[in-house]
Amino acid sequence: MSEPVMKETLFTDTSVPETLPEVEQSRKNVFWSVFKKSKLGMFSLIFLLLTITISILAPIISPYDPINQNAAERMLPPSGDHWLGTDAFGRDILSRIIYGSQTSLLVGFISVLISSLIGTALGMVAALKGGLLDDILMRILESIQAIPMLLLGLMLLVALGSNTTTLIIAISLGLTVSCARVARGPTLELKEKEFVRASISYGASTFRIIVVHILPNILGPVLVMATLHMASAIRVEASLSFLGLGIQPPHPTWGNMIQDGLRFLTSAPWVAVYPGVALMVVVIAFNIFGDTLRDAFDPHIIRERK
Amino acid sequence: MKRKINIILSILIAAVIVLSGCTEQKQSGTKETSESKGTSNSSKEKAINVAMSGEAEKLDPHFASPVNEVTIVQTIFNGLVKFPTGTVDFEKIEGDLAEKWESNSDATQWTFHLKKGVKWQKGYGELTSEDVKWSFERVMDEKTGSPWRADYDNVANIEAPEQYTVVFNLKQPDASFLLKVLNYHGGMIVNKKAIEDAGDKFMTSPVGTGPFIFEEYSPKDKVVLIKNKDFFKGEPKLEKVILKIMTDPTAVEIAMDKGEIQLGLGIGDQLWIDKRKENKDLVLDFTTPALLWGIHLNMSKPPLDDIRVREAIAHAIDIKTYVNKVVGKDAASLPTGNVSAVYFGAAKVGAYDYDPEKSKELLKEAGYEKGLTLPKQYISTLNSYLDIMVYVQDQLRKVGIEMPLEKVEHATYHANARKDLNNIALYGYVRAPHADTVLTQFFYGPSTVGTPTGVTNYSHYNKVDKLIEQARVELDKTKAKQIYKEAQEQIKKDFIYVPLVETNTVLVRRKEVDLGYNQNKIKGTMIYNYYIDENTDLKD
Repeated sequence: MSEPVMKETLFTDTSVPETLPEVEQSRKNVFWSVFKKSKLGMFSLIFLLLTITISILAPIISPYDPINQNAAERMLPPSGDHWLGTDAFGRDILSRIIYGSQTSLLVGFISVLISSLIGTALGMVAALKGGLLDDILMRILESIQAIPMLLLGLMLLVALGSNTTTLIIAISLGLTVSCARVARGPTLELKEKEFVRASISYGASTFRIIVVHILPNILGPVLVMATLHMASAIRVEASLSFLGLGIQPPHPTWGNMIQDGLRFLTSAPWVAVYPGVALMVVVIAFNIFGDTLRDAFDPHIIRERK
Repeated sequence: MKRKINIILSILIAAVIVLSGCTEQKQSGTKETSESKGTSNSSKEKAINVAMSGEAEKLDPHFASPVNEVTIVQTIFNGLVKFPTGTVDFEKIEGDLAEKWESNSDATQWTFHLKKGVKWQKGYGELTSEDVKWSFERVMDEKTGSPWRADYDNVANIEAPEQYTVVFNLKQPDASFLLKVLNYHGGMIVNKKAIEDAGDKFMTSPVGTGPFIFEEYSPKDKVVLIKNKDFFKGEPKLEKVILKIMTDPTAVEIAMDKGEIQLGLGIGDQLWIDKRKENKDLVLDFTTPALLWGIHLNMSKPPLDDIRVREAIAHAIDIKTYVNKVVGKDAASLPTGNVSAVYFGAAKVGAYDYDPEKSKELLKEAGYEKGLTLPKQYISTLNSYLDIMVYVQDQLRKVGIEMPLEKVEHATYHANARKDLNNIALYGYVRAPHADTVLTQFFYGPSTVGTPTGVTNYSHYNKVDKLIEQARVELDKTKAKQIYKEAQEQIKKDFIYVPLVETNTVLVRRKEVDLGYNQNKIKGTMIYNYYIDENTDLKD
């Protein structure tokens, strides 16, 4: 569980430059030029936008009802009628993957949103206030972090009952910790900068300091973190669904689709393989996108250009 | 860092999925090769190799319970009576250790006359009535801790007046008492001295009177049995029985194709069955008593307290399509009623007709024109349970009934159901093949779940209590059957139980195996597996 610590060091040495207008301008340019240069990054961005569009338009574009069973069309291999075949209940796999993307993206998006908001706020406040509050908050978060996210999810779902809300709470809780750490690092550094100290000496409120000075400067790392967290959230959601927790039948998720198909792996591999591929591609796309985003936000790149 | 781990993980998952898909070809490739080698080897020493799906740690028959354990115990021990091997017909029960038996007129006293000259294995002398008395008293003793103790609650005392005579005195009349002294579970006769000699190791030192003697047990590997030359029914044809622990079903398939394993368990899925049938060296057996699956509707709580709602549910489920298209005709059949057809006293009252229009009408009458959402139901994550319930969920949705499900671990599911937390409880079971067992456990007032005497009456049903009690003491089999029929018809009329499907146990053997009983066919099995007895043989 040393990952977030490493991430923190990754971002703490990104000594944030003061936001002068021309720097702002050049940063925007660099941002886009990095994206344009990285074909993989651009491709993943387009792919993710496409995935999101497909999941929003699911009721219109999916060829079949994802939960309607048809015993006569059980376990059909991929064909013209069913592009990706059918499952053990005769349900169209393509339609289920499309609807499953709604669940994956929605659970991922909501839990990342919650964890980013709470985590970033906690991290910034802890860093600015310092002292006992910082100690207590960070120790609590670290103790949560000591539990692997999958295990945390398992425990919460078993204790609070298997449903979508609990699932989102569990994933958010796991992600909040690393968000807080990512926000805390750069804030500690910013706190010592002259413009922040000046602001403090003028008697500005913590809220104002956060909104005006800190937040704009740590937005980059936080956004990168959020994108990478999307990948983790989707993966954890799939793992928990695979174990039979979280989203309940008959609603499709990629995780429970893989679980359903696993026992037919030798006789009807398409049942498990296609949702697996969908999961893999989306997780990789979020990772590559996050990677490119980090390059684009990296101030060192700006300096090199200058 | 996390990003890299994510990528690596995703690629690994993909690789695993793709690679395991590939193994299919490899498997079918091995079918043709090196098949004769394995067979000739085994026929030389006449050793039969059996695949076991897991460990067999409790080889004391009064504790043995999973399929692997009862399979082994079955070859080592005997009971007083038995079904003709390979069948499960209550009316054809024959003597095992007992030569003959009789009961008094009100079925409260049962007397068994033992066969003479039955020898215990490993030099423990001749079997006497004292052994039988001690064996049953051991199961009945609370201190022993046998899970089958409750089966003998009705036994007042056991006497051994002569060397070859045992008398059971019962508290209440029991016309089906023979089921309690079958060569099964608590009915297996064990040797007092052998158990005392074994001390702490009694669980893995079985000594019985059966055709095979326990030789060795190597954990995670195998159990070896050798033949008992002095077996009282004649010398067994096989020299050895080797039960190998193989937890991976694919490994068992390959080993059976090669001829390294002769007997194994199958999987109850039509796709799997069709694939195995392609191999002409194999014989697939589908045995009864089938597991009867059905949903129990709790008539004590709304909205299921309304008989119209229960009837609507009963008519909404298309079980014919489920049996024929989903599970497949080999491994499953339509239920014949609320008591499985092979059980004594089964009246074959039939399942409910599929009539979704009638369901919709009934719902309308009951005031659920706009649809009905049932309370949340728990369901086991075990595929055999989940598959049926998800099918039922879809069928109900088509007539306007929403049934939200929550998946829970299998043990939790059963615990919840017994705590009366499920209004619609799915249950699949095999019981001692007699109507009394089924009716008493599932449809008898005192067995209602959530009460101190509760068993598995999930429906809170009590309308046939008198009939059940009446049939229990009826010695005349024809009259008893008539009463059981009346009870089953009443249960059907009250729509508290919807039978869905009967699934058979799927067993696989190589064609060189001669079972040696029931014209080389196994129709019924109490041990979910093949019986191996003194006549079982391997042909060349």
